[in-house]
Amino acid sequence: MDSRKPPEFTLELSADRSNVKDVVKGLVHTVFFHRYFTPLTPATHDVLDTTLPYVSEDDIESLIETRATAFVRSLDTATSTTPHTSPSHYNSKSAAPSPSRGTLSIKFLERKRRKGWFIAKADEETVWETWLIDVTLTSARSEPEAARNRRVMERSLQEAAMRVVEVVDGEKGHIPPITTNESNPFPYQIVIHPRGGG
Amino acid sequence: MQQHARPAPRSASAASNPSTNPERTNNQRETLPQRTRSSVDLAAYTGAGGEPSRAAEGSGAGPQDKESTRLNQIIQHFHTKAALTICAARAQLPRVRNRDGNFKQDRWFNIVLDDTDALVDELQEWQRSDLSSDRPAPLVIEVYVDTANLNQNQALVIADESGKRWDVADALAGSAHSSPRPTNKQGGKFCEVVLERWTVEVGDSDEESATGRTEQLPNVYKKGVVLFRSLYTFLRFLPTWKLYRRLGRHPANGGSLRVKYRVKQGGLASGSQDSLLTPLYPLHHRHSPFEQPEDIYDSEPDTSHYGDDANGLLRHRFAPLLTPAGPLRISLLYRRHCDFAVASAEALLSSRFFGRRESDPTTTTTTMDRYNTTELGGRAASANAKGKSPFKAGTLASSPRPRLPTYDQGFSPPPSSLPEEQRIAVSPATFIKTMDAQKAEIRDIGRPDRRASQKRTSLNTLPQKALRAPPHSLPNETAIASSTSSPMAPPSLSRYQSSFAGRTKRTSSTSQQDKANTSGGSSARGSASDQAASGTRSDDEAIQDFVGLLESDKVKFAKLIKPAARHSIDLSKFSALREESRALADDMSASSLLNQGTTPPSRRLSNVPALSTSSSPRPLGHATHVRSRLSTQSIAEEAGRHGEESMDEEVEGEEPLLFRQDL
Repeated sequence: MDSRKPPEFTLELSADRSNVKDVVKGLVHTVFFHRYFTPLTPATHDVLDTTLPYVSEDDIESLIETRATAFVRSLDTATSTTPHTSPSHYNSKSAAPSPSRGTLSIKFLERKRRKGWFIAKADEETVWETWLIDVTLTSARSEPEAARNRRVMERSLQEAAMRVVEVVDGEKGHIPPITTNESNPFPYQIVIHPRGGG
Repeated sequence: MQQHARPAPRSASAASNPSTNPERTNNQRETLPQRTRSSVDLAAYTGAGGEPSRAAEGSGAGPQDKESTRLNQIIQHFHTKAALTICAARAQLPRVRNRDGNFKQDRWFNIVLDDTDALVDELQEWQRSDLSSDRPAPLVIEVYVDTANLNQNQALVIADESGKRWDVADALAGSAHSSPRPTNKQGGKFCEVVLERWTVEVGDSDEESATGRTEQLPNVYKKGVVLFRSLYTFLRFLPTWKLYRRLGRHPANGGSLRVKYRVKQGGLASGSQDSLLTPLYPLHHRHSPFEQPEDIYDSEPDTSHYGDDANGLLRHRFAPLLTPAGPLRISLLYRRHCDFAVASAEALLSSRFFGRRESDPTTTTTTMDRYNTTELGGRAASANAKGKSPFKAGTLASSPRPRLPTYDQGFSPPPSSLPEEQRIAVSPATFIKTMDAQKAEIRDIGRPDRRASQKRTSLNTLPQKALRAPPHSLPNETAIASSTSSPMAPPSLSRYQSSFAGRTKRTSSTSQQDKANTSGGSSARGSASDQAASGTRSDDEAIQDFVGLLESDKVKFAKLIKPAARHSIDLSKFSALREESRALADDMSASSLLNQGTTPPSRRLSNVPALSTSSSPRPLGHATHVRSRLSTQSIAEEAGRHGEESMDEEVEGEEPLLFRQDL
């Protein structure tokens, strides 16, 4: 067993409050689309004028939906706890709410059957790939700023989606062998790492 | 190798299918019409696992035979699946049914697409049974925009990054490869512009691909799965995709512009006229004074033809799929900008007689802004990054003058230098006529329709009038802008009033409708448009006033009275209006913060009425939201309907099972 750490790929997103959930979901679906090895009928979903692939499998769909919702909630919580609770820290110079940030990670695991001698087989699950999605929640105080944020958001989504394609295309050597075609061979996890605002 | 051995591999597999299934590789030609999905059971591959493929050839050893058969199938299906994936993303391919009455699907490489018979003839070369030993020619697919349906009065134009329009036929004619331009059936100028050239091939074995020799076929297949998923995704990032969808949305136009594909063998000389390599507008117009965003496509500029990026072409290469027979490659050469439209030839001509100097700066700005809301060459982000997004209402009030010089250069050299005398020659009446005619034609073409449909009902007449106004020097530009944007009117209108007013309302109403499925989208829009309409009435009146002013200018123009003063009055008047609207908009947006994740209208409209809205905060019916209208919709439907069937069919072993069935 080699001791190399499984690769980690980082994607960065910038989004405003009204689109952050869509943007995050779109990108997560894009990642899953390239890692769901079972025969799949592809679907697409437009987010911010970009057509992204979509995995229309119930369990994946609902997992992504619930995680995205929870993630956005965690971003909201982070934002709301910053300036108001600690006036002493509230620097009058930085009157703008600092952008809230959060990280979502997607992990793909492989199951290795372990034959126990006396105990029941316990499948060992090891991570073979991690995707980190760093999301910055933007807010705007004026229309031009909102417009700029929107452009940045659109561009960040396009770049992140393109990066997914680059990565999956260029890095294929680390995908573990697949031994079954019946169900998805690689279990997955979506983990929310909340961070404070700013 | 004896082909009779073919049925044997399958019987050796865990999931065996007793029925014979004509393999593509096996004397396919007479059974082509009956093509079923790939029948290879690759599970047997993994059973072999480390089974050595012997160097011994010709001895007909069982495993060796199997292996090479499978390798051959991989090569075949690599080509045919790639062709199907690409063409399905650029055209509506007819589906076929299999003997059970279900739609045939191609499941190779674990991506399920509706199969078609439209490519059967073209793909024969790549369905031979000896591909692994006798390398086939490269499979080339060209995607082009076809103007066969344009009539005499129409011309194909392309907009560059800053919104200037260029006559395509001129560019093609002026290129090194010109020949007398044939006309199409209706007497229109014939031109076809190749947008993409895909090449699918078995490449040369070299050092880099030497490792493929020892690659196990299941591994090859596994990597192929990822490759085809990323191909599917990438196809929908490209500029041509956006063009395809835009044109596909308004088939009722009579299809004056169509995206089409052709399949051919590579390696043959493409002839003297390669429209893909022809730049459609001069280099210096490609670099606008505004910020030029970097490319997001992970493609490299194509330097092989002109030595620099002058031709606006990009090349993209997917990582090769290494096999014992050599690396399987997919690569693409494509145009970065595909913002084509149809213009009235008359308008094009008259625009050449008029410099830009008389243009209404406001209108000029409008046109350019409108292009920036459009997806220029599919790079919406780039347009917005230029600081001319529709959200920047401020640009209208601020001095638009600086922009004029750039805009001035608009068409090819001749126009900008015409003396004033010629301008006098055209009467206002001609303008109006030209504009109206042009508008009538272009109205059908359909530009990206993001927010249009809901506003269309209420505001349709207005835009015609309002945008018809700026006539003078740029009848072509502005008229096209206005008329093509008649489906597109709202954005420019909203620019006059407020970027947010209508949109916000729409958002709030539509979010309530979001529970409905895609079909509910239209009802949502219906109600939204009512809201939008009422809210913007006062703005509409303001526009009508403005329009009235412009129209009177138009009449006076013929006498070469520079209406500069009047323009500034117009601007200040309407910028004052805009302030009010903006305040309103801010209130509206503040009050509508409930829209969690509801798509802003520009997204929602994503062009096709049945197209998924991009968000639904509720999990309900999410799956149905998502089906995109074009090639995937039918697929998704089929998936839904045939979910069970596909399972059955898997058991039959009729499709490529990637991996060993679990013990």
